[in-house]
Amino acid sequence: MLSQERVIGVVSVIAAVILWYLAAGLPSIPTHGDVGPAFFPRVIASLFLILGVLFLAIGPRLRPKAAETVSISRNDILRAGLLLVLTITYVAAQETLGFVLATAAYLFAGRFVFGSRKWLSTAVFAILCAVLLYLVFKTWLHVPLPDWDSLLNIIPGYAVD
Amino acid sequence: MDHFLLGLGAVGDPMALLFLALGVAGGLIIGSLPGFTSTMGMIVLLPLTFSLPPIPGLMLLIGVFVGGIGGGCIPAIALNIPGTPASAATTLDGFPLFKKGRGDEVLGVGIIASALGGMISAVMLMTLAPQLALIALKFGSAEYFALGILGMTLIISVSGGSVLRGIFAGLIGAMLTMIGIDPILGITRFTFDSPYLAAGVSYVPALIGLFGFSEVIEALVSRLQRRKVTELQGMRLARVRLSTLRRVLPSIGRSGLLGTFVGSIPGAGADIAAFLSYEVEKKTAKDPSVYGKGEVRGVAASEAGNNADAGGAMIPMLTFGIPGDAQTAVMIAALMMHGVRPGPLLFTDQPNLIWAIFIGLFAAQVMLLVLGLISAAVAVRAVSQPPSILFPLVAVLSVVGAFSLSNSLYDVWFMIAFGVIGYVFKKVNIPAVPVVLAMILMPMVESELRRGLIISPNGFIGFFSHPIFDILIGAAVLSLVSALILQLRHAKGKGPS
Repeated sequence: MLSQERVIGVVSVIAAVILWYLAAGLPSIPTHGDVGPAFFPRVIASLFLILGVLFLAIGPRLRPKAAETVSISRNDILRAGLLLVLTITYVAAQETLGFVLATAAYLFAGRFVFGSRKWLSTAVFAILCAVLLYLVFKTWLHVPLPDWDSLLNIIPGYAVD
Repeated sequence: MDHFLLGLGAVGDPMALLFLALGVAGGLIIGSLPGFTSTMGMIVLLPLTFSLPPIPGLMLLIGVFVGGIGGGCIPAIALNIPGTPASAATTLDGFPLFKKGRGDEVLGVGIIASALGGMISAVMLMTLAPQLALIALKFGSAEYFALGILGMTLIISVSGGSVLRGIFAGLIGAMLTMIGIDPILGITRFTFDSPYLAAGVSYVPALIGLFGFSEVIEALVSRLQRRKVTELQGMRLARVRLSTLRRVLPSIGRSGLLGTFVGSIPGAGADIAAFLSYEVEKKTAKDPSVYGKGEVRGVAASEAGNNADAGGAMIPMLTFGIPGDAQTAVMIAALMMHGVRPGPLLFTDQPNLIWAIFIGLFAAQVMLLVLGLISAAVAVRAVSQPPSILFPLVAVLSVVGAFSLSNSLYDVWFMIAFGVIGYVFKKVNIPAVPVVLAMILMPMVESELRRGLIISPNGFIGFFSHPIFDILIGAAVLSLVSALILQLRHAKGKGPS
């Protein structure tokens, strides 16, 4: 199994190669000599390469005496994944359900995922917060949040201007 | 004097005062909640400042900054859990005193020390920043390039964990800044024909993701638990006896000055200021053995030190446009959203804004003193709120906040991606601060380097003929090399961490 240092070292070297390759496609400007658009990407690519070599060569020596282990269990990944799926669904659903409904649903699901099992108070909390946030951001701050009209628009024959 | 009066008038405006008070109150609540930081509070409130006039918006953020650090002492003392990393040192003596039944007194000392330490740093800021701005006006391309490099190396040296990992994080941030428009020639770079990428990658979604959304993931995965406080003993207000106040005042004075100095070093945040102040106080005490068992001067030192960081961190922010820490990075975002670029020219172009910030910082400390003493007992009860209420709200505010930056879903996806990256970085001990600070500093570093090289007849060698460049680059190399050496020695078990 690769150590953290070796993984970071390999990632650094790959980043260096990708950056250098992409920089090669940038135009050179005769009047600016070697300091055109590709200059700084090449500097960063070189630094990534040096860093990658350092990680692979001496990275493990810089590790503290107590070995560093990454403790991410399968459950951790599942819980983080669940939150991500919920959040991505929430963002994607706003255009269809509108901000208030989508946010209320997300807050309800979020509290459930965080361990709340009081269904009624959770539902009330979710709806109240969603409405309050809508009023603050849309009405007061004029952030263009999707309305629940978006939901009505999916009804055949219904059209909102 | 004219600028002082203009600044006073601007802060004295009812709207500015209202938002300052709201910010301090909100910051106290946020800071007293374990798992939350003043940075997170500032980030979720940042979108609110976009639709406010510049000064009320800044007052809101300053209030949250000050209140957030001050509020961190409340759970540190009552629960032995620092509300923010800056209050970690406060637990050492604060919790033992709370368990001994002196909760009202030690909470009072914590709040008073925070406020007085912050006032000291506000006065230092007013005194030093204008003088440093005069020096900064003499900076050219070479000096600004070196300053950016120094800022990055200092941040990497003190950001915790491995120096090499800090450099890795900084390079990730630097790589992201190259997407968009070339700063010298105006042509697109690494945009892959995407109109979104042509606008560049803003560091604000990265900030929200790394410091906001990643905390939600962490709280869920670590099953952050509700904590109950059982030793409230009918406490209503935080109170401090005059004899206790006389005892802690010298500690507050020393720590206020030290915290300001530490805060002025980019990357050295409030947590370092707090620990350093605590250690200095302990080492200079007649009987160091009492520290760690319930010595009220320990609480005073760490709280004065951490709140003094606020004024100190604003020194490089205002004079050079370099954030002193993550909180001032958020303030730079707020300023730039209002079309204000921090730096030495701000002192000549908008002196009333500068003085409004100075006076607002001082006024925030006064509000912290009043609101903190009144609400400390209430806040102790409030910290028992379950994470299931708070963290889903933070997630929603992170999504809405990222969207409201430029009404683009790309910013939201970007924020979520950085939330995941931030969580992974936490697990593998890669600091997140260098990513964001590189995204702020690297555009300046690149443009000044290239501009300087184009002008200089001797190329990069010509930079060394500038004395300030030599000093700054020397300091940068020294900070990195010494951090690496210390880390090597620590890894071999031969030296301190």
